[in-house]
Amino acid sequence: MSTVARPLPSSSRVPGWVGSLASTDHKRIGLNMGLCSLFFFLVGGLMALMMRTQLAQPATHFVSDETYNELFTMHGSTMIYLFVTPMALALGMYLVPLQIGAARIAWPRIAVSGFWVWLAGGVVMQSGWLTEEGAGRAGWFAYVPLSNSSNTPGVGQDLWTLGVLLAAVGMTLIAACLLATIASRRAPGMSVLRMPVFAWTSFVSVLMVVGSFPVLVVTMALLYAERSGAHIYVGSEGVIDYQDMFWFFGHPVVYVMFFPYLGCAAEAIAVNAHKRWFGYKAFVLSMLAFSALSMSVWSHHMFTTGGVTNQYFAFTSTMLVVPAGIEYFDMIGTLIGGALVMRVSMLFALGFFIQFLIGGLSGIFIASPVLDYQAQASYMIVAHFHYTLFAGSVFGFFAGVYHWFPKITGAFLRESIGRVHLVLLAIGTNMTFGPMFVLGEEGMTRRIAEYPQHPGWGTLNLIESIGAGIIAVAVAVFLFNVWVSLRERVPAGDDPWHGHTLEWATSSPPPRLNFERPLPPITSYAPLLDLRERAARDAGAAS
Amino acid sequence: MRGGALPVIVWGCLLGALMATNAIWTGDTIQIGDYAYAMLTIVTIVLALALTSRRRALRRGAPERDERPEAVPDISFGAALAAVGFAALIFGLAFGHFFIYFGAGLMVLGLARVGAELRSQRRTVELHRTSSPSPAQVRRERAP
Repeated sequence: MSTVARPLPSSSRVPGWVGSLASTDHKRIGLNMGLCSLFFFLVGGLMALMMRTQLAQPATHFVSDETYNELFTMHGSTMIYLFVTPMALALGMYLVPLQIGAARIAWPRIAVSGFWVWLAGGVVMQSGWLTEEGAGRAGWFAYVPLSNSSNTPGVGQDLWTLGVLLAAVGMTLIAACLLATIASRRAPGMSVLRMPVFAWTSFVSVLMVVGSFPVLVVTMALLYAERSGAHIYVGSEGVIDYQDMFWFFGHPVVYVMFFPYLGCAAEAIAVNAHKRWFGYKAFVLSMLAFSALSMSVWSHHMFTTGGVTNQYFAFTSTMLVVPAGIEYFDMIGTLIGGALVMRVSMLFALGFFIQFLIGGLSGIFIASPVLDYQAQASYMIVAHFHYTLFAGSVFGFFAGVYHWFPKITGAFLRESIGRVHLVLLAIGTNMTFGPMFVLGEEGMTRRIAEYPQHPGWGTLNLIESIGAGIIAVAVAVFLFNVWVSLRERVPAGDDPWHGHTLEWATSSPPPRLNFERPLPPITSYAPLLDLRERAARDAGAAS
Repeated sequence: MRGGALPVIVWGCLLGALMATNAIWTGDTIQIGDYAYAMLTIVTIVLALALTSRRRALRRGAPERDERPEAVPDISFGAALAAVGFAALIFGLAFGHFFIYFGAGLMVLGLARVGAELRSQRRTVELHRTSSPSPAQVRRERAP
């Protein structure tokens, strides 16, 4: 799009990691953020393993009750604020400018600042572990009055509050850059209705981020003031007000943790089916409706408080099945008649759609206040959101990793090791989160360090704990795969999968300004597929 | 830039409709306030896009070729420093006043550095403009 004059005289490249940490290259920022998120994923996973060890049997005293509270708080916070959400933004930061044919992002300095503020937020949040009273322990939502200074005293909870505030500021800045990039730096010919599917999913996600995350920043600032002695969330109304503000962020973020991974799975499916994504315009419209609706369902987290209009939020929550159904319909439409190649990325993408379905269908039940009253605070809810966020989003994430790893590094990930990774992860995931539905239905309460000796509960919990161990092994296999693939590189070339979108029209890894060759003509959301189809038609006509 | 504001407007309209139904159905002040913030953000984004693009962001179609030169920074220590300063300032609220002053100092240094970087960026573009022919001149020279 833009002609680049020359690099700044004052900004000669600084080699090594020092230069890369302050780089304004969107790919570097995306990679930095992605790698830090991955580190936090391992930290959060370690916490999950400790919790599952504690819960493996009814009276296991692996950690104290206080430590358990810290673990479940920090596990949820780490996964949501420091892994799944920022990873979604990191993928967008790396891939979206490439997909829309931009040489660089808009507002690169804001993006650098966003990365650093977010990372500092993560460090501040985790630094609570080093304090005398321990880390934050009022849940990832920090409801008042539980999270006020009388009920949760200590610097650890303060650090948690400020860490969340910083992470939210950082992610908002990153999202603002992505939004500005999509709005203002698309290549000539790249109209909004020619943006690739992944770019659209990122676009609606960043709209939701800028529309809801600042509310979390305000909520956390007020919570910090409350903890410092101000009376802000007073009485029962104050409690409901806090929840209304928190969940105005807290539900949209669920979809920020879903849409970009849906985009990853959709791209992997379309490319591996050798077919363009079915029903593109319906998909785009449904994404816009889906994201707007998902900004309007937050109080279904508050059905049992008695402080919200349940009918309205039950209505909007149930409406979500319509756009969700369109996405599934598009996915099936893409598969039908396609020349399917079952690469690891394709298998992860299919795993994403199948397993997310379990999370989505269980969501329909708890979108009904009558049923939600029964399921509230039970393991049913834990199963539901882990099926959406882990069995769903993380599978979509791995689909994206296997799909774009050759573009990012120039080398293939090993398919054989990838299959072992997939199988272990699928087994571990379903062993860990499947039995939670049964436990929830039988009334096992969530957020407890110990549970009563109830027939069958010990066995089901043991199965879950073994499943968590298998997930850990699967993640270790993935890391081994990355290590092997980077150590003994199998060169991938620029377009190993015959991709559809513009990122496959440049070298692997892409150069500093993304495209050194002229871009192909952009005539649809799959310009490279257009090019190949045109070449095939021309060849057919010539013969 | 062309068309960049259109999906934001569509999304804002959908959100506005949901805000209206929420206001009618619940009448809850905090909830309407939440929505109002989101709507305000959307309106601000649309206005900013429309103003900076001379309303091209509101028109349908694909972006045109933009041949204006621009300088691209490789790194920005100023932005990183300002961000770390801001984080240190916030950290200081919970962990000692020293960090508040230290963070504020870092932020000022970082912002000053960003200012210098932006000035250098502008100079580079000006230098490029004066040393190379404009696209109009090139077209005139190429014309038969």
